[in-house]
Amino acid sequence: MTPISLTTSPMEKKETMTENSKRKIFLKVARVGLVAYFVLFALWQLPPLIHGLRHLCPLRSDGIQETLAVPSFARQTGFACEVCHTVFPELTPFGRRFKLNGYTLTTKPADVSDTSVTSSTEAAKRNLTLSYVSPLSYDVQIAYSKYNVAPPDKNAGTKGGPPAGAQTAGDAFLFPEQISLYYAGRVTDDIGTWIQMTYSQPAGSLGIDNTELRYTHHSADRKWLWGTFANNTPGMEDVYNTALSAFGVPMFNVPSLYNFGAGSSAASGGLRGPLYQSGTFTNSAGGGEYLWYNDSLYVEFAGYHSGVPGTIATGNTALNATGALGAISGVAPKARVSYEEDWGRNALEVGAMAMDTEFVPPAIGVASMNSPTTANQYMDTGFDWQYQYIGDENIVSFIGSGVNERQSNNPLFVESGLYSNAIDNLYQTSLTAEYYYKRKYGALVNFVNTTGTKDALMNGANGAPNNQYWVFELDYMPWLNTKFILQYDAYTIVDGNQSPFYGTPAASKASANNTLVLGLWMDF
Amino acid sequence: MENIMKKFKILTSFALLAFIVFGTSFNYSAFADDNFSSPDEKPFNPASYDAHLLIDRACSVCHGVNGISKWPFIPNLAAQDKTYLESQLKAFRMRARADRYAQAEMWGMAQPLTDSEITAIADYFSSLKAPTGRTSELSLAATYFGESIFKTGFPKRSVPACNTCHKLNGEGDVDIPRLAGQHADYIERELKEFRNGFRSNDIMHFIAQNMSNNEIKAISLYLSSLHTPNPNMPPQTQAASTNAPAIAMAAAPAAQVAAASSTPTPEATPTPSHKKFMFFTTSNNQNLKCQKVSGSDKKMKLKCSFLKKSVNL
Repeated sequence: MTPISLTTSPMEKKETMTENSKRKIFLKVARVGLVAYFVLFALWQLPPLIHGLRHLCPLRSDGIQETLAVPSFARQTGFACEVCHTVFPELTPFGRRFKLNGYTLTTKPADVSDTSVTSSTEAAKRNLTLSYVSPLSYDVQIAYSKYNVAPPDKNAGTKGGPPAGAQTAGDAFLFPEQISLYYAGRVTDDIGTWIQMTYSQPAGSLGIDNTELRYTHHSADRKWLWGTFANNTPGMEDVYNTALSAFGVPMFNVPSLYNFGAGSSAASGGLRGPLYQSGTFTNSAGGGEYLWYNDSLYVEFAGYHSGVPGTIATGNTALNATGALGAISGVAPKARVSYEEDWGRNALEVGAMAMDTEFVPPAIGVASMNSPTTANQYMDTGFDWQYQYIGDENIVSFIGSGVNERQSNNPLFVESGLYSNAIDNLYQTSLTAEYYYKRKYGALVNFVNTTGTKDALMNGANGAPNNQYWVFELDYMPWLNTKFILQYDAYTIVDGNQSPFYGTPAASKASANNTLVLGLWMDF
Repeated sequence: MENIMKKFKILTSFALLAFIVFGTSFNYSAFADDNFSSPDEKPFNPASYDAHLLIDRACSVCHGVNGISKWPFIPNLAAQDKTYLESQLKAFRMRARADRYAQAEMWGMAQPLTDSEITAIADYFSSLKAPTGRTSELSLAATYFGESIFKTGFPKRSVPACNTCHKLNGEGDVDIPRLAGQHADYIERELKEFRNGFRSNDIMHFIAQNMSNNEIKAISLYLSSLHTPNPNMPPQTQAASTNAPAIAMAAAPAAQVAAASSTPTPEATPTPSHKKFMFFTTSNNQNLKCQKVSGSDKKMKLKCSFLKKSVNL
């Protein structure tokens, strides 16, 4: 073994210096090379790449060869994406039928089949006929976002942290913001599925996203359709794109200050909203049944149970306790009714929803209260409507919803000073207007207003849970599966305009949260 | 209030339970695949299980079990000519028919179909009861323009009478489509697709080139109002059948619909009542404006303008 010298001779120093300069030169060359490579790649590879993408599958409705946008389902049906979507993720009346029929529509012959199967339905049911192709597809979202005011650093002023008042970067470039892998489509003649695995950047982890299984059956005259489903998010089964659904538009959600940055002093979980829309329920397991009459009346009953019990508190084996998301105690029933009327190119839906949840809030912090029986009750009732005009060139949508959440706080929590009131109410209204020209250019405006009972212990400072914001979006879709998004999120009220949010004067206004987003969303 | 909550919870739990029980123990005789054709229709004898399943799971989702589609831009297939259905499905399969909706929807659907499946599908839809003509104030007004185009065409402009090829009552011929009772939106769109050449057919391209948008609209509305029974079905079966189209035209009074459905030929449509109907509904329609010139309710003269053209009725 060579002895390690602790001192460096002048000769060695000289060598290190030359090595350093060599390294610098090498890095420079490497950098230039890398840039040159990317430029050349762009010049040489992009045209064939685009060409390849354009010829992957047909087609755009104006007769030009285009890619299909709903990849798994499109592979299964051979439909262009415009058959089921106005512009993804919003569904057309036919898209809703496709979903309610359990994603099973196809004319492709089943791969696993027996000649005897062709003679009887019973035989076909016995011999499970699997899909011809594995319905796989991918979804990529890339986002660059720039905040109006750079968020203050959470660790600023703490021991070993940056100096007080320090701010984090004012922008974020997430490449990708999200990548999803889907297995979506027909499993058997009656069973269809949607399994989505997502890697998302802020969390930096791969996990199960929206997942659903459906079994459906219809009457001979197609007047009645009965279906049963199991999924992990309430509202995933919903076929409309209002805020009552898991696929409410606008859906391209980039991290704002509140869920990506420092977190507000008051509601560290982000903007207040109804419980059923929160992250808690993406961890739940539920199922239900629905009946659909004459392509218009839809009635659904479902129930949801916590999928992940959360972190167990020290010395406590009870459900949840200090988990980051909280947990549903028992089963939360959900009911949904909607009515759709289609005439010509128009479709109008009106509907209502109710969900009753016994919920153990996260991070109670008092060990003695960590029990599945000490829960708050959340009664969510909402109504929604959706109007669509789907013309050959012009598409217009008006989407709206209103939700009332009645939160009955557990007396034990109220006594212990976790909540000021026995009952807190929250109202949220969401209005969206969309316009698309030739499914190529689009504009969207979304307005969300949240008000509610003042509860200083729950919401901090002035106690108001109020939020109000606008989303303005411009879309450009060179192909039906590719959406370039320019979005501006403008906040007018955040946490009842408590001031200051973070202790820095610059960030004390609601508008400090305003975010400009440039995004790309591709499905293939 | 808590009591109400509890009651709601109990109710929803019961409903959920009832649904589960209902779902698992329900007698599926009405839902059974084997019970596919309704008693009203000619019994369907599928050539194979696959074709049966195809119609049930694929075709009927858009075109309706009765071959009558819910959406005006998706064609009715009921009583359509069998040869025409076959030739179109094959044209979709080989991508020869390339109008907008054909590309978006039918190319993918038809691509995996075999010849025998295509025959079975064509067999099924061609054997169904013909769609009842849909009358609306617009179609009644357009009748006076559409009917003349249908019966005489525009000889000076090389637009022959439609009924030369599509038969007297628009029922179609071998490999020539039935137009009677078809959705007006669909006919209008296809005529325009013929005109712009996306749907290739030399004869129809030539004819549609010489027609204006208003004329196309008028003929489409007229054709959609025709009720011509399926020539392949015994007349009694069709008269006894009560299957109404998926959407009844809200604007048309019941008597009008009944009159239209009971008259087998367009010639027999009662003109006086049309006039009366038009007279009373003028204010509701921006495209149609009528003025009473003279006469009583039973025999009056009207001066109407429809889509900026005027006519004396």
